[in-house]
Amino acid sequence: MDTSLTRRAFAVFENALDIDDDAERESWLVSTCGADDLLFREVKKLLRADAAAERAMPTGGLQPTAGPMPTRIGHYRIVDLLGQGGMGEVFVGARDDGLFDHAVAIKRVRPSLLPETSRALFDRERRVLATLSHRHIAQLYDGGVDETGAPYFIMELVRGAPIDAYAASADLSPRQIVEKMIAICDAVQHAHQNLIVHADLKPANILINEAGDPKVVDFGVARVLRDADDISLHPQTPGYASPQRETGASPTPADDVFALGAILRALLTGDAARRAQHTVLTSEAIARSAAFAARSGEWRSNRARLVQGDLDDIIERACAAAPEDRYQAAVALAADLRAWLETRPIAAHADDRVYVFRKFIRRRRWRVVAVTIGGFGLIIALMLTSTLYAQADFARKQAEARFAEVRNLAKYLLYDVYDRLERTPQTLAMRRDVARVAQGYLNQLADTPSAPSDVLLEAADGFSRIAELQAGRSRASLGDPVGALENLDRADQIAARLQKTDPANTGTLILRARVAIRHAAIAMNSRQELDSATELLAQASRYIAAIPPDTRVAKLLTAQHEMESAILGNWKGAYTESQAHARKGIAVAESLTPDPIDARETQYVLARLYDALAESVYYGVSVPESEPVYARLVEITSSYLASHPDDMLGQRLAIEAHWGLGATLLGLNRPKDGLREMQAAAALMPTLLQYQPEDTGAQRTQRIVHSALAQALAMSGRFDEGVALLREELAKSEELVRQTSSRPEQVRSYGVTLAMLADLYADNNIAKEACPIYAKAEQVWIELDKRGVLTQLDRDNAQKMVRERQAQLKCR
Amino acid sequence: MSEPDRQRADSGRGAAAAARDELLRAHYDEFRKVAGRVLNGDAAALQIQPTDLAHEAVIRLSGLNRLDFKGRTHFLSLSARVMRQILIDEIRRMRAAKRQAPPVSTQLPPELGAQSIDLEDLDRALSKLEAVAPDHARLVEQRYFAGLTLEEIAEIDGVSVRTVKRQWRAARAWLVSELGQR
Repeated sequence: MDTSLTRRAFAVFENALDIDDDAERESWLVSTCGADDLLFREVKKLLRADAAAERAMPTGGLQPTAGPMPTRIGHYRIVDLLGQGGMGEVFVGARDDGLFDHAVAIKRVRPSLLPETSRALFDRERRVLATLSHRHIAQLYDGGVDETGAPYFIMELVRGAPIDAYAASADLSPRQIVEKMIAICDAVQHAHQNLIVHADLKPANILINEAGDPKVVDFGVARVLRDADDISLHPQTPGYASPQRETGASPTPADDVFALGAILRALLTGDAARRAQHTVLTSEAIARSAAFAARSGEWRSNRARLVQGDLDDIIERACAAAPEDRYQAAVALAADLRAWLETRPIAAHADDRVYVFRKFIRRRRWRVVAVTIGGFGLIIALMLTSTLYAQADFARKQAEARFAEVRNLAKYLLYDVYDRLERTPQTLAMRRDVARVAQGYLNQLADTPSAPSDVLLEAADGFSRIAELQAGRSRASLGDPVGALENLDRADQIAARLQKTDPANTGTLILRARVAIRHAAIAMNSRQELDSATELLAQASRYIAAIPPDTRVAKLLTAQHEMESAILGNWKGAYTESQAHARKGIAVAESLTPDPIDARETQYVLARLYDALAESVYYGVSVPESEPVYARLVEITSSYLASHPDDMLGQRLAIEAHWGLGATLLGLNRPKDGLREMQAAAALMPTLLQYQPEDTGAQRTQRIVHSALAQALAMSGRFDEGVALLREELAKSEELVRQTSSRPEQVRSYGVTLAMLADLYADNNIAKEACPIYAKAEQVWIELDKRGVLTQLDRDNAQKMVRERQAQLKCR
Repeated sequence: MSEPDRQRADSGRGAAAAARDELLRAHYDEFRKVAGRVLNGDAAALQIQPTDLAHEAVIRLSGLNRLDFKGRTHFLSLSARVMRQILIDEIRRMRAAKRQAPPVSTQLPPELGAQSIDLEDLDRALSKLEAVAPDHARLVEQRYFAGLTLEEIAEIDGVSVRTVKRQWRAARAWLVSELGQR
């Protein structure tokens, strides 16, 4: 392909578009292209293609259709019309290639109804559905746009009847109804876990297939939870809509729970749910139900008796007017329904010990009856019942034990497993998995409505811990500051709630302080939000002030707080302030007697404090005075590294310490000493990279260290070695970029390395070599810019720098 | 070296940080997850719409919720390329991992002939276009992989809607004839 031809053809074509008249355009083309016949033909080709495309989509919108039933859609032959609804028609389709007998339901959206928004609605519906795969949810297979421009999607064909019709014709017993409801709850729960609410649950949307399995269909108005779109287009069916939905609020999982309760009620009473009927108990409604009018009085009172009590309570709780009084999740409703099936105590009464006792008596009724009939004395009966009571207590304890299991599992994953993985080379993917699984457990814990406060505090602590794994600087983090912020928010919300009920609880205060400090670190280091970091640190110090000051945890928190305050001072350029914070933090950290439990954390804090102090002295006082501080930093980190050779934290801290001291020495024009430190830093790099090859932070550190080492070599009269080192680095980077799927950060890294090499030449006044390399670097920034991935930071610094130096050297 | 220093050292010796870079990197894996899940279906043949991925990504990427509308479209535009790459990478990975990997096709919009086309073919065509006219290729990416409208693209790139429309028509015409030749 002749690239310049195409490029020229594009230019001519785009200008030709301005001429509407065909003849005029033709003559303009002829005169513009002149003797260039190839160009003329190329432009004509584009114009023909453009005309075809314009015909297919003249206004960029959808073509309204109101025609007869189509004969085919996509790969499917239309067999039958299944139904018509507000959004369009549903057909039965069959594969028309005859390969296999595969019937599907095809829902075609009627674009004429909503010409502007139909496509967006449809896309959303399809997107939502495609994410759901559950045996009780009708599966989406495929979708597209048909020849008329009408969007369609192809989904599992459910042959069967709506659940209310099915329940009536199959004469389902309450027990059978509850079994079906449990399956439906599972389906809805699955959707909720995927952040999808159905928003229009009703018997008509629950089909029972030929195998007797329920399938929830038509997630057509389902909304992704966080999508704040107006849903007034499609109001929920009255009777199944919660009071909140009636008033037009956005749908939430709690509304689905309400609808599930209403459906259960409708199935038990045989009557469709109606608005404002929920004041009458279901068991009472059975007697008055028109659907059961033909049944005998005995049949009706039997049914009412089965429902009375537990099922009444369950429905009442599911359909509570206030969402916070409802089951917090469909799974909780399902659990109570399961308990009812197994005649176990239900959560609706969980605290009622007498109730638990009564339930156990009923379950073992034959035994109690036998005892009474046998004429044993009262004492024996009491002994027996207390045994039963103990069994009930045991069941409750078992439930608590499962709870504890989840807690322990989350803890085990987050601390033991994760730390062990972190000390094993190349485990980033595994660590990410571990964090994900633990996150799941924690979400479960935090979402359990009955969780006691100590469990909640622990879950919150876990969230804060995950945040540390996601974005903490004391480790090779998962590099996910956004996820980390979310977890911190979550932890703080829980802690804030707990604090309201128990304001002086030290555990809560510690957690809040820790969360605020971590949040501040992310705010300043990842997002440059210095004001919000300042505010967060002020909050943290208020929490710390309320913790008993002589405790170890209070001291450690104080040291951490001073450390972040010092770093913040360096960000702001407030070096005097920064020094004061660092010195205070160092005093506190050094006053702690060593304890293996938090040795790693204290060492980290101490090293960072010295680092911040050194930096504030370097920039705020003088370079020579920073030297002893950097030297002390090297000492601390080296001794930690010596005692913990497998800990990559020590490795990284030592590398950075050597670099800091080395850069200072180079600045003091002591190249030999500087070179020694840079070599020490570079010597530690291979181990770090071997452990964490995927850690972009480690790669970045290597680049920084090698660049400094090259500079040190050049200053020590070993210029060629410096150049060779950077050339080697450059070759590696270039190799990565040459791969077709190079990521923006790899391209960026290539650009930075180019600039470093050019800088080295430029610093040594070799413009002849520097200029072409700068030009190459500039090309990289342009390329990134074209791709739309050049950051403002790089635009303002890296790119600008390259241009300035080119100008200085008079490259052009 | 502290973070400010590290930033200074690695960003062409400046200050401040690559917040947006960070955002993109943070979401890279999310994109992959979204793409991976779509492709993990057990169907005999998969048909996916890249714009769906973009929309889903916006919804799933929690951080994007915090962005206003403009920030969102901007981010989508930034990540159009990444999304395209990920999608293709995931398809290739899937093919490498499964012996009988299904073909992955996409339904082109009616203006591009409404035909079903293998996603890798589309990617190849785009790469070809990129070599000739990178701006035009980027426009297709923004539109087709990030699901942005021409108006949104104009807004982000700070050019007139008219310019974007002309470029879009050129890119579209080229794609129509290129894909028609297959």
